Amino acid sequence: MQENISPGIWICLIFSYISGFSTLFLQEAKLLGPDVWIAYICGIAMSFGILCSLYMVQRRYTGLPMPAVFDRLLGRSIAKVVLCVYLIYILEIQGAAFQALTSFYRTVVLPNTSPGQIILLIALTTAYASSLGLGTIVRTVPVLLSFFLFAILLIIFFIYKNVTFNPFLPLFQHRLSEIAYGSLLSFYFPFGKSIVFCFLFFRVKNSSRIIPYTLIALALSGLYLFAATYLSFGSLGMNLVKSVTFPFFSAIQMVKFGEYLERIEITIIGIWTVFTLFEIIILQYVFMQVFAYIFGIKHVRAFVLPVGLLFFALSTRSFNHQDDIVYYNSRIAPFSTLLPTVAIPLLLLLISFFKKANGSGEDRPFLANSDVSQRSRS
Amino acid sequence: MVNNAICLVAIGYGIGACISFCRRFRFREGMAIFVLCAVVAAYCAPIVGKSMPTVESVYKWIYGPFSSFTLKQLGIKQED
Repeated sequence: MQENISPGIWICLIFSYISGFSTLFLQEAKLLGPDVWIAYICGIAMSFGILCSLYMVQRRYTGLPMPAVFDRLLGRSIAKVVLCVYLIYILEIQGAAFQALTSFYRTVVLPNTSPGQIILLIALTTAYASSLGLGTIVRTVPVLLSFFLFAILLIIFFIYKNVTFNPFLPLFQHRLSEIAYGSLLSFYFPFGKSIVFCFLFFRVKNSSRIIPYTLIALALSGLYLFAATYLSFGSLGMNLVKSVTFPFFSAIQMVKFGEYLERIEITIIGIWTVFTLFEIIILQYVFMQVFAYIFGIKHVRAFVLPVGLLFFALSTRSFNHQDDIVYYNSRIAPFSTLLPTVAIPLLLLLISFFKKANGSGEDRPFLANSDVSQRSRS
Repeated sequence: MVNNAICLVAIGYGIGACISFCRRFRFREGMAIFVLCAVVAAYCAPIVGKSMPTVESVYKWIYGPFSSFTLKQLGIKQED
């Protein structure tokens, strides 16, 4: 029996998913400096708009999973192609997530461990976790979230004591084009990747409240990111933030709890790592669901290990140098992810409205309807 | 070393699971798992694996020129 997600857990799930990696590189902050808050607001607004449009599409087919909604709107063969785009999108962001986590670990904690071993450990862990099902995943989220919030609020309090000025002043120092690109960066990472949650809409209890709860989750993630950026700028200074790879953790490293509690950040990193794994676990779970739908697979369990190994294989072969991931995140991914995160949702919304206006039957796909009408005309 | 081991595991698991599915007359699932494991094995294979295209390499090739052009037009210089 499938377990549903309660609205409160929905907020925790989205927050955990977005916030795991969001403070790692702070790329948009490095680009925009004090004006980064505008990019965050734009990123949240765009992600919320896209999730709203997908919810409006889903609402017409309450209880149906999103891949089946794709089928209804686009027809079976086109829906499969579109779903494959989402599979590629998941492979793209999971590769970046694996490599980001590995490079972080090799820089901060385990410099002598090979990246392959770290990636394999993460892949096996996430494969096992995703095999347990969504019910187990959502029950684990609030438990870990409470630990994470305690640790991060404690550290935020101590970093805040080091901040002596408001780093977000003076305002509006950047050109409109730079702010627009910063918003695009912020939309790609971290807020826009919440698009995969459209595949879980049908599992939420009381689906009429999905939209406000999604907005709350996005706003809380934005608040956490804003706080992390503020503290990084405030404690390290603008120039140092631009030159270090992991600004927020450099800020955390400056906190000292006394003579004997140096390297307290290792504890925080431990909690944070488990938190970041949620993103990969959810990605893998959604990947398996979509993959099973495309190939008509009934027994998904047998595919858990191969999908985990596929994630491992693609991650080890991607981003061979550490600079590659920064280059990819800042130059390529903001454009490459526009197809699944903007173009396809808007297309679905358009088709959905067109079908509604046309009053066409709900059971038949939009493109199949046009075939039928052409045949009847001929 | 890790890659070679995963390559062997993928081949073994793929063949085993494919035979198991085919015995139960679930040919579609058998083929899907075999293809998936073959892809994993190809990516982890010692020589072939390094030259296999990844999402990153393909997207870099497709979107790289477009990205450079757009950033130039917008006048954005990023510190990589």
